[in-house]
Amino acid sequence: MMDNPKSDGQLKKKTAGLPAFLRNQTFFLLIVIVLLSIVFGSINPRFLTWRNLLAVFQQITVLGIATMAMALLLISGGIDLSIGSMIGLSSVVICTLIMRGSNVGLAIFIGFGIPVFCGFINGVIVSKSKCVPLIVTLGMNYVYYGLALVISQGLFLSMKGNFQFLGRGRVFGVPMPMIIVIVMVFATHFLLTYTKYGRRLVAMGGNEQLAYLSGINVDRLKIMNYTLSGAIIGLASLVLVSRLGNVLANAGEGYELRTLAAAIIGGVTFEGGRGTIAGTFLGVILLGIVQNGLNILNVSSYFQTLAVGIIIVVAVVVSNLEKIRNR
Amino acid sequence: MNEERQKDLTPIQNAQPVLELKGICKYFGGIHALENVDFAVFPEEIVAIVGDNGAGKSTLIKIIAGVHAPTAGEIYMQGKPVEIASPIQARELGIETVYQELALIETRDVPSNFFLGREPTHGKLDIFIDRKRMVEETVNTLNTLGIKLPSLSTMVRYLSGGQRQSLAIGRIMPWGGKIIIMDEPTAALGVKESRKVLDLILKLKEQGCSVIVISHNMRHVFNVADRIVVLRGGIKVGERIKKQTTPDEIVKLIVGAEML
Repeated sequence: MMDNPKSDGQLKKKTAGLPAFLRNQTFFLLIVIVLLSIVFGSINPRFLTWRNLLAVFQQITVLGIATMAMALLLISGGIDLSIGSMIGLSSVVICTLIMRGSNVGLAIFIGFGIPVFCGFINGVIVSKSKCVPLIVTLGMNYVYYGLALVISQGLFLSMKGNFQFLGRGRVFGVPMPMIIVIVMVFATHFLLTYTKYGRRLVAMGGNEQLAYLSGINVDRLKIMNYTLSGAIIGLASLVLVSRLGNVLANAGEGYELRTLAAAIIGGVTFEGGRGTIAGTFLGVILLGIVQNGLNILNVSSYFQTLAVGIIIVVAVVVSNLEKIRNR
Repeated sequence: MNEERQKDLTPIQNAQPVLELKGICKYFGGIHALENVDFAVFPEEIVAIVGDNGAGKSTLIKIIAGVHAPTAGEIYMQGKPVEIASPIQARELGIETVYQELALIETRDVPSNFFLGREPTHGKLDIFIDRKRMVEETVNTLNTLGIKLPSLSTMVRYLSGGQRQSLAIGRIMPWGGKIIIMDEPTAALGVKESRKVLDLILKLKEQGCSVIVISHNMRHVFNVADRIVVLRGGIKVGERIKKQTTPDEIVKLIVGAEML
């Protein structure tokens, strides 16, 4: 397009080495997933059955939806560690309303609205106080979890068999959660790649100060993004509560860290400004496969925790290698 | 204050200043960053602001760019009083700024940087990005300016310092800004690269823009500027037409040597 031999040479030198498609973290992840599946499958053939792979997919649906929210936040330079308790709070409220005889539709509506509102609050605090979002949302995590405990009084709450469609229903034989997660992956990818909103999110994650100086309303964008992420969490929460049928206040426990792990494994960086939704979803799949595979191989859950931890650290180090090389 | 020191300052043009600041003060708590500063920019003029570290240069341009609000004083554009409350407003008034160091988003490609903050969209809905137009207009502008880059799709972090600075300047050009502010545009650049950036500044003037440049490099200042404004300790201590002064005199003003 524009040739300048000198700078071209310089550019090549910096990115020399492996061919482009191998340096791509998303592709690398795909290879790891295939290799892992072959390894698990060769140890226990049951792993590679259609039925089991479908089960893996089913297991990761809530995580997959929630991870889209985390990816949007990380790419824009934010983070939300309160999404686990947002799920818990939303589920608890839905069940409480239903158990008190409320209209199911209204309960669902309020249950969806709560994470949206929580996200909005997080966004306002983060953008207006200029505090580190990690700490703010860590605090909010306790606030929302505390609220969920107060409302549920620590008891098991039930949906009384209502609203099973989102979690257990099927459309043309395809489980609803699978449809939702696939739609969400494509929608999020589309949002980030082809819309002004999405591109501004990535720009803000890359250099917030410059985004502000370039005339982007950074505060408003942050609040919108936290609120949107809240809505995605609301959806994840509806799927979860619909599938489980009864919940405790800690229904969403661990989701904040597992979504973070999946996104980081998928090549999203903690610093913001980088990462793809395709990679993020592969990160979710990898976590699902490891968990399911180790289950099938009868590895104790203690070792599973260990394995997941190792994978996260390796993923972070691998994704940082490029940065070190380019110094 | 030091008005009496402004010897021989004949008006550059009879034209109305495009931008005029009167009696600007800026206090950060007890620190007086700017004290009663008057500053004007005329059409198609390059003004250099010089001064030691902490003289108030950056504060002054940040007030013009809408980053800081002045504690006191008035701003006029084309003779009309204006308020520049945010970078967005500054841009709407036709004031564009190239900041030092943080002018580009390193992890994004060239067109994304080029159109940052005003991404073109398809159709009536202001939602979907018009990527094709982004690429085309980026290529056009870069060609017009004679800026050569290895590839548009590379992340900006892989470009050289000179290429980045050219891009940072180039990206403000298609937007019809009347006043361009540049903070240390040649800092950290080699001789050849600096030359290119200085040429770009002259090109901006040719195209009818007024340019405000902050620089520590006297040679670069004398290369491009029409007028030089000297700040010291937040006070404007001198203002000279380039043709009527010498680097020596300017340096003396900067350090305040004549006062000794």
